[in-house]
Amino acid sequence: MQYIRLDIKRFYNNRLIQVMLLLLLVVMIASPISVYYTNMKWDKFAEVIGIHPFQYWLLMDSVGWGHSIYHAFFWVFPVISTGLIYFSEKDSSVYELLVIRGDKKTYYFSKALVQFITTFMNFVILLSINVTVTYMLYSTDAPLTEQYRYFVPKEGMFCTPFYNIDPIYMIFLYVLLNALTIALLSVLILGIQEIFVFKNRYMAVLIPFLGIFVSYYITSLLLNEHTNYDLGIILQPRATSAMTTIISGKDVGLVFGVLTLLDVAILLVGYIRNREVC
Amino acid sequence: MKKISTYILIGCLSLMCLSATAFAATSTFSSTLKAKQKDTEVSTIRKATDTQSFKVTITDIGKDESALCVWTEGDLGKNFSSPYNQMGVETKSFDYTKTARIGKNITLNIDNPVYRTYAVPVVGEWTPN
Repeated sequence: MQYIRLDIKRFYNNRLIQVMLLLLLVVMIASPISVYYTNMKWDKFAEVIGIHPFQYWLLMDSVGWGHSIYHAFFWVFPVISTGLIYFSEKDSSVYELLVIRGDKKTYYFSKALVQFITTFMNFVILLSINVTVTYMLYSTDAPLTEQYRYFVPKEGMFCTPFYNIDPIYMIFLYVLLNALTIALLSVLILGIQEIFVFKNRYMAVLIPFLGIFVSYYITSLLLNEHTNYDLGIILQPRATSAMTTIISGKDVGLVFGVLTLLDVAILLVGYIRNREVC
Repeated sequence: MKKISTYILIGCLSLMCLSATAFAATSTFSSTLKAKQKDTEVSTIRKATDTQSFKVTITDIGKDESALCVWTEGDLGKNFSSPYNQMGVETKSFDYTKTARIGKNITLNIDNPVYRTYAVPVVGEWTPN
């Protein structure tokens, strides 16, 4: 328990993580506000395009600048979310002191658990703030325009049953999926940092980032004919309305299952790799 | 003097012929939308009328795609219509959001709303009217 408390404190005191959270908070709030006021300059916008909030939350609004920033830096978030805390501890005598205090198994378990929980909660909260701001600006009572139908998920998509209950359920499904992905990727990055000895902080950031980004890129190209298994596509709500390939619940389950198993495997290797120390 | 007038007349007639093609009412396009980058400028046509709407027909989108964002820009890259307008394989007319006069160069932009790792081809025709 002491490791967990200590790790949570270290995460939220970490400057890298603080800056990332602050910048993202600004994006989550400012993006829907600026998009709203820009769009409202056209007097026919509400009548032609529509003003239902489902069209304008960050993950759905492919035109908005917040959406562009989110996707441009998506593969950076998991790396920054580690705060390089493990790397800093390992690079100094702090690591030995901490491991001696308790036991190595608990130390590594706590690192992974706190990494996952804090990253997951951070992105659930950030994306939820964006959804809240969007719902405050637009109106769920607004008439649905002809353009709105281009946002409705197709039949058979894994999110369609959620949408059919109420669009807000589909929104929070995607909030959870995106937060879960970034959390799992951050644990993967932590595992990579445990396995390899990096010369300095910059290598500890760059090499894992390149590793996951290039791996995803190659996988995505190989999955050209099977976009229903493409993680990047699964995370985008627009894919369920703008694409024809049906993404089922089983497809999503399989992809996340593989990612979770990969995390466990990498963490195990990282633990075994460091077994000899202390 | 007579020779100079003749050359001037030939020059004016040539210019009129060239201008006539630049005022072509409809243009076909066949383009490739880069993997999630905004503003793929597909075609530029000079407006021939004062109609405050443009019409686009998309006849083919790459496999796996069913909807694209479609909008227009003027000479300086400023939007002349909303980038929130969308369409699939169909014909649609969209209103301009600011006055587009005769003679104005209008550029059609198309964007894929889904981030992908590979390009998406699109075929169709359009007129700025």
